[in-house]
Amino acid sequence: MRILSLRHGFEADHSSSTYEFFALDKLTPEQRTAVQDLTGESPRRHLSFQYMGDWSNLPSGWKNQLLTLGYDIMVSESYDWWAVYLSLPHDPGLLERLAQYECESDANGFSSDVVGERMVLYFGMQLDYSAAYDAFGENPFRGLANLFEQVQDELLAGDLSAAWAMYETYGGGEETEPEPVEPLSGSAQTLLDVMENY
Amino acid sequence: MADAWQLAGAVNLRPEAFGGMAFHCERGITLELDAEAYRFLCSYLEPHPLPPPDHPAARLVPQLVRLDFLCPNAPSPRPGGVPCESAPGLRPGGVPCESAPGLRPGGVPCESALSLRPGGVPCESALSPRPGGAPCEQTLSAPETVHLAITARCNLSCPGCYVPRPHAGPELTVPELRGLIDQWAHMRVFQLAVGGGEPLLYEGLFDVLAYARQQGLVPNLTTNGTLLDTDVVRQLERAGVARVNLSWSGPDDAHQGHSQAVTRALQTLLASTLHVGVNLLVTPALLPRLPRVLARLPALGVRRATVLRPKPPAIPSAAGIAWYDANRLRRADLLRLQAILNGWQGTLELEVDSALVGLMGDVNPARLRWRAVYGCAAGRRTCTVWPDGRLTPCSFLADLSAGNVRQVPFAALWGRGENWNVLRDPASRPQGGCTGCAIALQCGGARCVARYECGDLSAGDAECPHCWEETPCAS
Repeated sequence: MRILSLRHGFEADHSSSTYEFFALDKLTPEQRTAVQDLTGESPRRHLSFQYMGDWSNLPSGWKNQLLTLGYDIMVSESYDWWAVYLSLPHDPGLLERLAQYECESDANGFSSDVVGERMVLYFGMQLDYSAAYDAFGENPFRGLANLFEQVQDELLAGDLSAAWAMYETYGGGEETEPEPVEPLSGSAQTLLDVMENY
Repeated sequence: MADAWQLAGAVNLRPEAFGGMAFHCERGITLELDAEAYRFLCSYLEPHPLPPPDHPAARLVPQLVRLDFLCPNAPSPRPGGVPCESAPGLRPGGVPCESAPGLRPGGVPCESALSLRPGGVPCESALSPRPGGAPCEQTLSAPETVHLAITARCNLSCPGCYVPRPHAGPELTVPELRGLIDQWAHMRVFQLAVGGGEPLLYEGLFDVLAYARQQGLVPNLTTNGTLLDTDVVRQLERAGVARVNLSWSGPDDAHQGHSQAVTRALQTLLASTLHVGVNLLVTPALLPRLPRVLARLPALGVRRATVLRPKPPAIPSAAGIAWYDANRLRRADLLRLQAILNGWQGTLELEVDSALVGLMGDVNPARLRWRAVYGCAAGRRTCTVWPDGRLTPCSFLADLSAGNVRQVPFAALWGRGENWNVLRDPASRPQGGCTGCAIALQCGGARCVARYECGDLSAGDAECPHCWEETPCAS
């Protein structure tokens, strides 16, 4: 049961795509140089790129490069579609356990990828912008990054609650259901609540 | 929290093969819903409590409330929303909430509610999703918007105008148009886009616009602005027009010699309650000065502009073909346009017409689906009624007449869509250079451009910046 599309008719579609990168630790001098060379931006721990209109986007390859150059979290929003990418050290065992929760529904869901020595986890969700404000305050990008900083800690500690929350919302229908996680961590419960009440 | 909630009276509902659609006449918001969500929304034609948190529909409710589709039954205005007490009387098609007693709360709406679907399609089939049939692949049960070229007469003679002149046949009269509006209201058409020619030359225009609003259609108007004054704008407001778009080529447009009049008209419109935008037909000649034109708009108080792409003449003529060949945008022009629009999108609210959706080729198709970005939807979601009553899939495919609304009921013409198969059959479109494009289904290609270039409605758009096929015409 869902809304398939939402269009504002009288008003022009004043859309934009925003990409925010968060580094939890200071960038090394090498990383700073590489980031500056890639983006032309001053390499701060928080980088923000906004592309107005439907016709432009983050240059191809920047996401993965920045997520291997010291940035731990990327939060993006476009057309009410929110994507969070987490960059963690590549851990084949963890990656294998996470694979059971991979799911996709209209680009929402959870997936993982290996990029160099990192593994990049994707959490995609559809949230009305005002709902994101309600849930995460004046700066939903920062709010989501804070939430996923906790998720990262939990994953590194072996708690897969957030991946289960994604599967619970966007997965299902497979022959073998993944292993449920109970009880859910606080951050995963928050994530679940937000997604269920978008 | 109110005990009982109901569908806002300004919401126009109709079932579709994928589920259903809901249009908020006051907020201009269109929702496409799957069958279950549509049934859930229909259930609020009769007031009843919101579902408990563990109900499958509970997650829809915050969104529906936030968008003002559901409102408390109690006659108290909600903060920041449309006052609900004004809503019931606005129910399009004349089915006020209180007169829909056959609806079962929480269940499937009764037959009488869904029999508003034209052409006698049973409710059950309307609510059964077609296998693999996403909304972007469907032909709707009725147009979302009917484009009404109300007159071919005009006080200007812009060389790129798509309306052939002199136009054959007498114009539809006001009584004929009222009859058509009744049919459209019955079919639950959402919006009426009135243009011409110059629509303000049509005697009885305000009656037609007001009647459309009265019957639940939202009327919009496109005009060259030369006949607009304070009195006209007041009449447009009174008629319930939502948006007026002014055809314009900028304040230094000399070739039409009416820039001062248009600038005055803009000021008058901007002082009104109407939503105002300008239509910019971007030709290679305008392209270099487009940044300058866009820069002037905020200073004039204009926040919205719709960028139009020149298209081949609706009815081929030597003059029309010569104009198009001299003014068409090539791939390099479109890339330049893309860069200009990108630079101005933050300052202005820019829209592009359906033939420019190809500029969104890098956007995730799922996102375009979510925002219901449908490019060329000719004959599937929109159509054009000409001054003499002919029905065509769009203003630029004027030879593909499905018949005349004077002779055959509109619903029958729309339902048959004679000569529109290529536009309606998902397997037939778009081919050629559009094959393999990630957003082909959302974009639809510019069919009129494809046909002009390749003689084939299902061909690719040879000028699209995202089409790199060497042979766009190959099928």
